[in-house]
Amino acid sequence: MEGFSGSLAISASGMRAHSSRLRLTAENLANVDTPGYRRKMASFESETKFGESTGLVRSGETRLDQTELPMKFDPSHPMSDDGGYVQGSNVNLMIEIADAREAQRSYEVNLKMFEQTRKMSSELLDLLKR
Amino acid sequence: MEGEAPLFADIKILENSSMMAQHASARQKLVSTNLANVDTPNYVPRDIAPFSDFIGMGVDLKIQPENSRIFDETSSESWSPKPGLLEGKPSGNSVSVEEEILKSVEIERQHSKALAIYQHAMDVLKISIGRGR
Repeated sequence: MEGFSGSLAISASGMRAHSSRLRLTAENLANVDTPGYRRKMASFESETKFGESTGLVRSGETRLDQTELPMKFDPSHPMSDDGGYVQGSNVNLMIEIADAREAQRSYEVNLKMFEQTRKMSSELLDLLKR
Repeated sequence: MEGEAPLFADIKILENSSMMAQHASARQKLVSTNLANVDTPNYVPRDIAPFSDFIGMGVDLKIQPENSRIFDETSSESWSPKPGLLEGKPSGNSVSVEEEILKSVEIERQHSKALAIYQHAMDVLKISIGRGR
């Protein structure tokens, strides 16, 4: 039975990691027109306890995309520099949409595993009810 | 009562079916782990051998996910996933979602099979002591 609660915890950690990834994607998409905004991203990592892998997954530290910000010529913009250029954001809509879709699919997979584990454990409990 | 085969002394069928369910639960944990780490860089999926490999080895086996082995392309284990399905992604992760889902279906079937066997063996025992169902 403790195997089942372990599986449930692992699937839940996967869902948590993917929803935080989706959150970062939403932040990036919301800030696609914010001047000087750098795309946020996070890498997943396996959780370890006393040097041993627990199987849980978590979203790692949030990092900023260091690619160069695009410069747009717009002298009428209030934030333009002396040359009349404004810094854009380095968010690529295509990448963000693809990332969001991937997060959704991976979330679904974890949810499916969660449901299946729950079904198996309730079948096991049904044996006791008889 | 020596020499006879007492019915209740060593009920192999209950032992085997509960071991089968334990195996399914341990394997389910590994499949959940693999799928939770589907986007973790440099993660290598883990698995334990199918139950049919365990059943011939006697009763003192321990089915724990900690005993799991990492099956990669270079391992010379007798049981390993097909290499064609393990094409690595650029992130160094080699989890195949399709294969894990197939495994999970197999596990679910094995688990309900084990529970059905256990339940029917129990029913037979109950009938034999006159309690009926």
